[in-house]
Amino acid sequence: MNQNISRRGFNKLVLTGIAGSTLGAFGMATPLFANQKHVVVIGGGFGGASAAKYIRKLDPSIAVTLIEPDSTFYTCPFSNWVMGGLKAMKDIAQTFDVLKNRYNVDVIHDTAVEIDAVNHSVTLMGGKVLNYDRLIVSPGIDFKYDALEGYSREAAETVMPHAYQAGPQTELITRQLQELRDGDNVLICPPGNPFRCPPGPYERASLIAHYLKEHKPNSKVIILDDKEKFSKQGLFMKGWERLYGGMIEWRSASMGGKVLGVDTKAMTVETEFGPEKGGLINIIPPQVAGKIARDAGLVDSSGWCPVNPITFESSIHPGIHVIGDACIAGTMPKSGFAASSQGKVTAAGIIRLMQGKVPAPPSLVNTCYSLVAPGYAVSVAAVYKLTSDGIVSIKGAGGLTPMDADEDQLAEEATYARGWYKNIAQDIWG
Amino acid sequence: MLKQVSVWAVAGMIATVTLTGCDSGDAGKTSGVRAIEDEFNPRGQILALSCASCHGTDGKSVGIMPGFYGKSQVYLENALKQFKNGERYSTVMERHAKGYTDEEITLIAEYFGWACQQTTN
Repeated sequence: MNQNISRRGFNKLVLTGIAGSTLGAFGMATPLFANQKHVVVIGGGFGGASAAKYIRKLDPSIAVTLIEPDSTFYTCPFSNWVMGGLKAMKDIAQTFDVLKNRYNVDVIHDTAVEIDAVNHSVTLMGGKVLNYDRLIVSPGIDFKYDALEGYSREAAETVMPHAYQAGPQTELITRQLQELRDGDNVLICPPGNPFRCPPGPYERASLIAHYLKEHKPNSKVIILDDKEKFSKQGLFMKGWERLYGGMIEWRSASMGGKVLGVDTKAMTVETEFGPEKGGLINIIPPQVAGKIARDAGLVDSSGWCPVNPITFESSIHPGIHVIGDACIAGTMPKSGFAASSQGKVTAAGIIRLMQGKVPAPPSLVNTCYSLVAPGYAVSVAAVYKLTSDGIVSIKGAGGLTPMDADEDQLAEEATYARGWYKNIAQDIWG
Repeated sequence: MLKQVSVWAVAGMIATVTLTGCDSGDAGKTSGVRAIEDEFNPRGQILALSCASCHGTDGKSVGIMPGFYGKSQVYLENALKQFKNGERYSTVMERHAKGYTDEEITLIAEYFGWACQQTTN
């Protein structure tokens, strides 16, 4: 029997092992042995933190440095719950203590400002230069503020939040909602595809309506969409009708939903059918890969990063892997779950490469819960594999909550949504 | 009974047998029928890593999703196949399980079943 053979997949970190002798004994930064492999990860969100943790978990002989500007990372998943008054900011706050202390990831709170793909180094804003054997770039998204006339970063930070990166933006929109005058409308303006979290704006509309129903019953939510259809549309619309009557109105791009610009003083958005006034205006601008990916030349003309679908290694710069929202991952959506799944696949792939072995073919998953009201959630799931067409979802698997799901099933999904958040947060940062 | 029978042989016929994991008896030892080599199967690993996103790292759940750390290979394989065939009620697991071949389910069960083997031997 082979039961005594150590298998890294389940090993707790053995601090007396090779890794323990080089890492973290005094909580200090990692002094690298000349022959120790070093992976640098840029970005401590769903993708980057997953990759950092899983490299250290699966092969503690590899040193990992994680670059993340903030000491607290607020998750976009569940940030709509904060707006709806169902969660507090502390409930969506993740920290890096476990990655540092248990997994001995060298976490540096700084911003990566330059990647030298030829010499394999990363320069931080603070001046430090890190050398890497392999680099993982997981920078998330940036916004194309100039896509809408009158909109800007400053407008987002003061008047018309995007609230599509959690943190201060979540607090701003939540405060605006609380201060909204009963009878004034909330405008939510989602972009065209592709963008982060396709069902996000519609869960947001749901939970804002939930709040309005209780606190400002004369207000309503108008979604001015840049698309003709949206994620989980049938399930959302059924839920809206059941729960909120006419409180949520969705206008497709061709039915006056297309937003051309904004007037931050008049608090209006300009559509092809004329101006629309809002007491709270949530502009979710079109998006591109995060700045460092663009600056490093990792993007193609789409603004996103093409990658090898087995290891997520950049098709442009060898030795650099791009994961999460920034990468082009076949038919996978840009979601936290997908980013984490990609982070783990990339971790396993990098380990195989560093061991001189062939990486296993990727297997990826996405599951996305959307809360329509407390006790009422819908989900979409997919399992992905690599084919000659790239990463595609497997036919016959995955799919949506059934349209005829009864109340018990929808309530069960809401319970599982909460359970999902706890477990994925634990799997990434815990 | 199960400990004398190969997992491979019984996998198809144990749909009605309920095993709750290593602590239920012999299940753990049955997973020894397939030799685990010095390294885990990399395909099994890649397939299995997805599960942790909802069920916790190594299947150690901290939320309402059932944890499966320490469950036997037989139990896991059986459960996944029941989800896949719609024989076991679920909200989302059937949608997931249908994404894997029976061979892949065996690899996933083998990967996580390893922990069970460690705890019972």
